[in-house]
Amino acid sequence: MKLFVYVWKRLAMMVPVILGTTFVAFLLLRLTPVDPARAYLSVSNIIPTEETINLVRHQLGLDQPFWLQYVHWLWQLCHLNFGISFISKIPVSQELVVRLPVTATLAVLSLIIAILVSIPLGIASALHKNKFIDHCCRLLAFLGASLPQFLLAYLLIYFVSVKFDLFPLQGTETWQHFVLPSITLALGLIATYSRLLRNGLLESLEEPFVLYAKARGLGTVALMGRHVLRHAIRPVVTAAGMNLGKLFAGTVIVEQIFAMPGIGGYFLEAVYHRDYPVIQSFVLIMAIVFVLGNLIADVVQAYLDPRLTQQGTRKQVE
Amino acid sequence: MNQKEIVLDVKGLDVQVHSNQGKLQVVQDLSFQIESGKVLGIVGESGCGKSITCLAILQLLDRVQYVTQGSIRLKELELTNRTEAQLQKIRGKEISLILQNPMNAFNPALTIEKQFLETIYAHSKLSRKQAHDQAVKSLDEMNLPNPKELLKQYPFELSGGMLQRVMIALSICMKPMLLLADEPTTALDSVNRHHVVEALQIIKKQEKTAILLVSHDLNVIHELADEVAVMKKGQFVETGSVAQLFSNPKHEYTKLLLDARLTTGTRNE
Repeated sequence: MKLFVYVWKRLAMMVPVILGTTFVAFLLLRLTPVDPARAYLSVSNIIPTEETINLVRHQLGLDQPFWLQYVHWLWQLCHLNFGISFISKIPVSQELVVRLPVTATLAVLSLIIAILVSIPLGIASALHKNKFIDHCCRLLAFLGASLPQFLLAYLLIYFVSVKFDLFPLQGTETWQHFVLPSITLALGLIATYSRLLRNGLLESLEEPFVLYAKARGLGTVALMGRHVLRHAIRPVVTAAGMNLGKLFAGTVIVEQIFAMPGIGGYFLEAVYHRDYPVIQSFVLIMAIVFVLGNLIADVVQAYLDPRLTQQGTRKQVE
Repeated sequence: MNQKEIVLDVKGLDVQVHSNQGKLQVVQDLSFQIESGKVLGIVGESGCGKSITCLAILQLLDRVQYVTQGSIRLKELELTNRTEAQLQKIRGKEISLILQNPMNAFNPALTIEKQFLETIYAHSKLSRKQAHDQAVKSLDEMNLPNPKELLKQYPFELSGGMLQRVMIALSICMKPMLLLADEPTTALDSVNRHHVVEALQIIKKQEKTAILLVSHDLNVIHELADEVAVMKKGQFVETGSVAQLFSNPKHEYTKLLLDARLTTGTRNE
């Protein structure tokens, strides 16, 4: 019940955050030196003259006052209308329906892979602290953190797809197509998470409540699962919540390499052409994803440590 | 069966800490026995090796860092050469521990009930309902109000004194032969201290459990213990019955401890 109220409060807090980010983005876009009308004309191979520019500006609604443009955009948004791309003249929503699921699948999948791999790696390296396994995991972490995604992607393509033909190379037709891109994205995360978890575990093992749990004769599974891991995994949850947004925004390289029609490429193109409605939609989506990612992380945190949702209790949260 | 049985028999217990700075003897040649229904009090200043002794009995000292020698027998059972799996069955069931800071000792993320039940499940095949009843019963025995409500709460929702009594209730829940109370009253104010002493007295009266009471609070020792051992730098410097030790201390260190108590005692009165 307390959790329910907490979630509602947090969802309500999303509204000002989203209004703020989209407004700032709106403002910043109009402060950039490139005129979208000019960009449009150059894409269409029309020589920009004073007359044509004014015409295009009028068509795109750019001759209206700034405030009016923003309110108009918000009003359209309330009707779930994301606007029409300046360049392609295709509604943004039409593109999003196709592209967003690709990126979302990729982001969520790589996050799941990262967490599932990091937990055993973190536990193994904590239990064998400074031994062979720990050193191997550390090496993997260094590699994962320092290997650029494009290089890793090509290595995977070369060895897994070309040499051994285990997974398809490009496209999004089957789930197999998502395996290599997800692994590419996950490796960097695995590096961070497994080290975070290792250190968290080593710290948790020193907690008095773990000693007390041992003194009560709990078995290894109950001890490690319910007491140690539950406490140690909290930094990983926070990190994963923040990474969800980053994954949405940062898949562009991987999408290009594996030829996946996600949102990354679409928005990159839009930035080049100052395609305002598309960029504005991107900012909106990112704001929502970031806030939601953090919210999910916080809800999981609140489940792991009920002190976080308790207010007015006897003891302060640490 | 009325004859007193020796529950804990420690002979020549030595503990060394191995660290980067070298070896350090923290407990040296301790020997003592506790009979069922009796309370042995260990007094001494902080850092003299009292808590280490408790952990050594439970075999909870890290085997890399600490080197333990000597014999620790729980009735007929030698504890020093048990495997970890065997020890898990003994800890919490035959020997239970009360720690000095209940605020840290309970896992803040789990309700009292969960921590009660996991202990009961670890040592018995009781159903959920039976385990719950057992928990309520032992809380009730310790005179805690509203045991059922108490079980639903999280540790941070209770006061330190309350939690300490919950910990005592949890420790006797499996009817252990031996109870190790490591500074059970140190973190508490005098009202709660009184409650905790009462709770331990209830256990003592049942005459089933042997209690090792570690404290630097001589008043608590005086109220509860039958025998007292005075510890300094890892060694017992004097042992004897409470009456004898309090009225006629022989060792200089014991006199010093008693003097310290008297001065604070008179100042309070």
